[in-house]
Amino acid sequence: MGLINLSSPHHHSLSQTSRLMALVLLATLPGLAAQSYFYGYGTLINLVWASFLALGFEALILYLRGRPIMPYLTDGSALVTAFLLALALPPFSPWWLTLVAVSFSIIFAKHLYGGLGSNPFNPAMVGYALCLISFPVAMTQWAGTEMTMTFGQQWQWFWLESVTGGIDAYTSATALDIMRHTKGLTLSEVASSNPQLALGLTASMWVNIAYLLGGLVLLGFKVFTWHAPVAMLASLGFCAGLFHMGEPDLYPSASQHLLTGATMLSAFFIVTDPVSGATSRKGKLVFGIGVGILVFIIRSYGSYPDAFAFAILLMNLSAPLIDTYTKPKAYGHQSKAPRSQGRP
Amino acid sequence: MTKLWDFHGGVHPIQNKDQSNQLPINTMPLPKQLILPLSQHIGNQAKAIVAPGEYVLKGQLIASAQGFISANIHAPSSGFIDAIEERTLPHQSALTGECIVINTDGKDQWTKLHPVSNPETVSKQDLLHIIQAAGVTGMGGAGFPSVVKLQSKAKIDTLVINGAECEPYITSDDRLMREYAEQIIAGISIAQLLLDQPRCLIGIEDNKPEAIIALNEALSSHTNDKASIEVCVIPTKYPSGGEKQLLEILTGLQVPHGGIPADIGIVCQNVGTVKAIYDAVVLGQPLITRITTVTGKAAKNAGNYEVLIGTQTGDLLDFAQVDMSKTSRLVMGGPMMGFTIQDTQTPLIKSSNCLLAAEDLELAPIADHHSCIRCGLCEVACPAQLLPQQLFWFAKAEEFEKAQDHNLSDCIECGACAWVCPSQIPLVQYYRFAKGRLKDLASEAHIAELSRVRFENREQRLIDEKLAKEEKRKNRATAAAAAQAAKRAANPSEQDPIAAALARVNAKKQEQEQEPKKQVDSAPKTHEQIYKELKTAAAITRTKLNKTNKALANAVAKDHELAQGLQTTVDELTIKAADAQGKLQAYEAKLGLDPEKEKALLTDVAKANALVRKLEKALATSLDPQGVETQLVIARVSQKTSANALAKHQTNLPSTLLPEQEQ
Amino acid sequence: MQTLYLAIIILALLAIVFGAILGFAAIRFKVDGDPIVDQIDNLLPQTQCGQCGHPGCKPYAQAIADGEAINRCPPGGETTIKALADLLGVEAIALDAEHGTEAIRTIAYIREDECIGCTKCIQACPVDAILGAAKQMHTVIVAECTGCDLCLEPCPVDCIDMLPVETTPLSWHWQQPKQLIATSTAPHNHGAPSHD
Ligand code: SF4
Ligand code: SF4
Ligand code: SF4
Ligand code: SF4
Repeated sequence: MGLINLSSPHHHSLSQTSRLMALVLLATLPGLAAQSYFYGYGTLINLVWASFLALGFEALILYLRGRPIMPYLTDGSALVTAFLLALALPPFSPWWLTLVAVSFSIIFAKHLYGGLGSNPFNPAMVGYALCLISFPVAMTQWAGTEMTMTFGQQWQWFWLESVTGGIDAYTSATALDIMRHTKGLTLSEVASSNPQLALGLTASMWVNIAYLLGGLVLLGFKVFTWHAPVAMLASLGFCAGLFHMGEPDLYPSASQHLLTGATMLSAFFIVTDPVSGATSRKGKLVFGIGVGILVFIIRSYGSYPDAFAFAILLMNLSAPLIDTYTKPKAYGHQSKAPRSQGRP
Repeated sequence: MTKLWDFHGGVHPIQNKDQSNQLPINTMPLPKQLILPLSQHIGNQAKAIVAPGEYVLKGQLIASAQGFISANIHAPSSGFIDAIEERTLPHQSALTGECIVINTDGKDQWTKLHPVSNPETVSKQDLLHIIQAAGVTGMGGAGFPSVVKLQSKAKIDTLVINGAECEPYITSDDRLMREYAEQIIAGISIAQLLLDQPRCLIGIEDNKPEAIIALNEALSSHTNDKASIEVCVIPTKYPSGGEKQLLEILTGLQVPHGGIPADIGIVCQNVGTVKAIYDAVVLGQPLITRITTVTGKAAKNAGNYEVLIGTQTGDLLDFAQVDMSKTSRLVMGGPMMGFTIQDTQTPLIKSSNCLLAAEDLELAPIADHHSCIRCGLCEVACPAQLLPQQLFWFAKAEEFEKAQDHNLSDCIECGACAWVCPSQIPLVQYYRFAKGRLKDLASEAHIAELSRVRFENREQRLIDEKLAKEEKRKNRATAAAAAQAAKRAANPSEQDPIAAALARVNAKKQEQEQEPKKQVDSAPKTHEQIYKELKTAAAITRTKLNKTNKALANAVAKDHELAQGLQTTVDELTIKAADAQGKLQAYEAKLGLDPEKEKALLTDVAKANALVRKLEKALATSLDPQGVETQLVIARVSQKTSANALAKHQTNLPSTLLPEQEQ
Repeated sequence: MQTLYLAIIILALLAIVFGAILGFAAIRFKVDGDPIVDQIDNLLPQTQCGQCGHPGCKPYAQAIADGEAINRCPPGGETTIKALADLLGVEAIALDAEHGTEAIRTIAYIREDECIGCTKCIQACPVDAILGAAKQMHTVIVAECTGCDLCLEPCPVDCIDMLPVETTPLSWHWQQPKQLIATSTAPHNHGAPSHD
């Protein structure tokens, strides 16, 4: 047998991109379950549809770019994008909304920038933001939690946006929406005036806890380091807590911020996206803090239902800058003074 | 207990050490042939001081160090020098280099040795000299000559002995520490003596409990009141055995960028090296053996072997019963930093600590690599605290300067980053590529600078010469004019000066025309001279013809109007060249020379030589040595015949080339 | 209306102030570099081969400073063009094939037994890297030869060879790994030297 010539190392941990991605996908399951439990089959249908689309577009683009299809398709990155989109989009989104989001994510945000690893923005967030700007109404259709549609009804809604039997007004705003759009009233007033809010808040809380769980599993498997998510949650919590202390009736409390909307989903599944985030650990801290602050600002003063897409895209934009200023000191560059200077 | 620190990053590959550390060190029988590369380390290559055919004794100096960073080489066994020639080097490039080849005679007879039983009685200078003369080099990594470190000018307060052996699979230091603990401690004492008694810390990973016990036992019976020696058990983590990392673990200090450990008062030596220092001083033996691990699932008798430096890898692999059909990747060194070799004739050198013949699925699969997903795992693993993913990016984009800005030169090529990379990118190869290109660029810049200076000097010189000539001409002109004027003033009836000048020129011309003839008449030429002149004339016309032909082709291609003229020139030149060639051949015939035949004979010899070499190589690896052997015998015969034919042809020449009178 | 005027005035004032600051900074922190010709010359490979159509690198540097195209130096190739483009703040363009193509670095060797000692090569060598005297055998100082080819042409007996620079274990280094994902099933050696 001929002997080959290779560069060291000849040993490998056998970790694989596809395995990392598979772990990420698995870790979304608790969140997915919670979301389905509270909001019905919408998310599931969406997920299957988005995955199908993502793989299809990925294969198509790879073919057009003249790249080998199977190795890239099996790395799982397209599926992760699909999952994130499906989970972030409202459960009541119709088929075309997902189609627009997924196609834009895969084609424009990912492949036009050179494919996996070269995209400056998180593809899922780009797709999400596009829909948010273009179809604000469709993007705010969250089911009221007391409403449960059968699978058939959900299926019908998904394709036709109407349901036989006339249940069409059953969408309601998210807890976040309500919280924001009722400024002027104090939160306690809102809560008592709107029984839905209380329910919505509970649902939202459980979904968030489920994502937190999945995230902790990933952290345990060392899929990412703690820096970005912890920094983000801490800064968001800090800002919220601070303002809540000042004006408790105007600003929701830290725990409400942390457990509503897509907080945990983004903290553990989107902010940790390595491709578009900052590189070094110090950089990741800065990145996370930035996202946290931006989320708080946009949630409190912006007019969109949730702030993540924009906060993350903005921070993606500044990631190269963060990288430049947080380059870690290499071995031997520390300022520890040498003890003797007697070099001949 | 000394406080331990941690270094950044690191990984935990599967150790696989028990494949080879179970059995005691086994001495390999004397091989038939030893190959000793003259360059076994960074720095200057040693210079051979023996000639082919010479008989050498075991331990005799055969190549001497050249300069400060260079090491002596000794004959590892007695025998005859077979050749000093180019052989494959144990180097990733698999290029060849000068080697001394010794055919051992089986007697293994020592030269006279000068052991020093009590090193304390000898002066420092003499000790250093003994160690230097014994050719002791670092047995762990780059094979740096040890004396250089032992005569540090800086004040050394800590001597670190590296017994970490963090690379998976390798166990040579482990076994060495178990079996030669006392010698190692004695070697350390010598090193301490040389460095003015610093404290000594021996770093050993906690996966070698037997070695730790052995060393501690040896320590308990050792008495040195001047300086302490301590065994420090460190956690198993790759690459804790890297010099810089080990220093950080044991002292908490980092070697400053671009510096050496002596800058922070530390000297680091490998356990094998201190054992070699002991051998050199107390036994008087030069460094001619070492312990090498043979391991991997393809090795039936995996274990540690005491081998002579210069042993061919093939011999050792055979002795350890390695099934070469089971492996396609033979690694010299460990799986993390070792390099692959392809030629089993590659010799083992002073720093060859391991031969890894792993079965194909044992090591990293040869996988395609994906794009970097910037997961940051490499950054977490990097012991040099670099940003491997950025370095990779720059190396790939060939932005070498940016890579340098990100401290590429601090990368120790440990491979931790590539080991964890989920995209299985051969990161280290990218870094090596970038480092190599940076080196190339630096040397190119250096050459360019030199050339620029030389070019400018030359320009200046040409200008100066021209000016000087001009000046001279002017001076002469004015002087001549003055002389003329003076003459005319003295003798106005003189004829026109221009006519006179013309007449002078004419006279000179005539003279010149006659001159060549005179020469021919006066000095009759030898055959050799005439032959050479004819040869030159033929070469010149041939060259002219070639050049004009080229110009013609060019002109024709571009449809140039000069083509016509060139065509005539070519025609003329063709005739001339043929003529010159004809004359040359005629003369050769007259002399009895036959260049055609000589050329043919030369090719024959070269062909035969090549065939023999090829067969010899094939013999080593062939499955059918018998068949190859017969072919080889036949080839050798034809080699000899063709050589003889050539020699005969050439010996015929001088007689006809003797200088003789023309006609 | 009044606010509009006010805005215009304020903006104008701001512009003046910043302009003044910038102008001051430009003078105060001016870096005196080499003259541009020297900077360009430093980027050229100094092979002095004349393929660019100038009798050496310095003259070409001068010509570039005077506005000539930056893509005429074959020995420098892409790298030099890129460096020049960076320096001059212009677009990097492809090498002008009129002036030759990028080739591997070579060094001249004189077949010494054929040399007739005519000294023509010495006169041609732009960096004085050839040693010899009339009617004596000539030789090339390898360390100083730039591989410019210029001595080849004048040699009347064609006894100069341009040979590629040899790789030694010291100068050898790994090449860049071949490709990200192999599309073929050929053995992957990631750019290592092959031995067949
Ligand atoms: S480990 Fe590999 S994939 Fe991850 S950042 Fe480093 S180079 Fe990229
Ligand atoms: S090979 Fe270099 S970059 Fe990679 S982990 Fe080791 S020191 Fe860091
Ligand atoms: S072409 Fe030759 S002479 Fe002109 S700049 Fe390049 S190296 Fe110098
Ligand atoms: S030009 Fe050719 S023949 Fe003349 S000196 Fe140079 S090498 Fe020799």
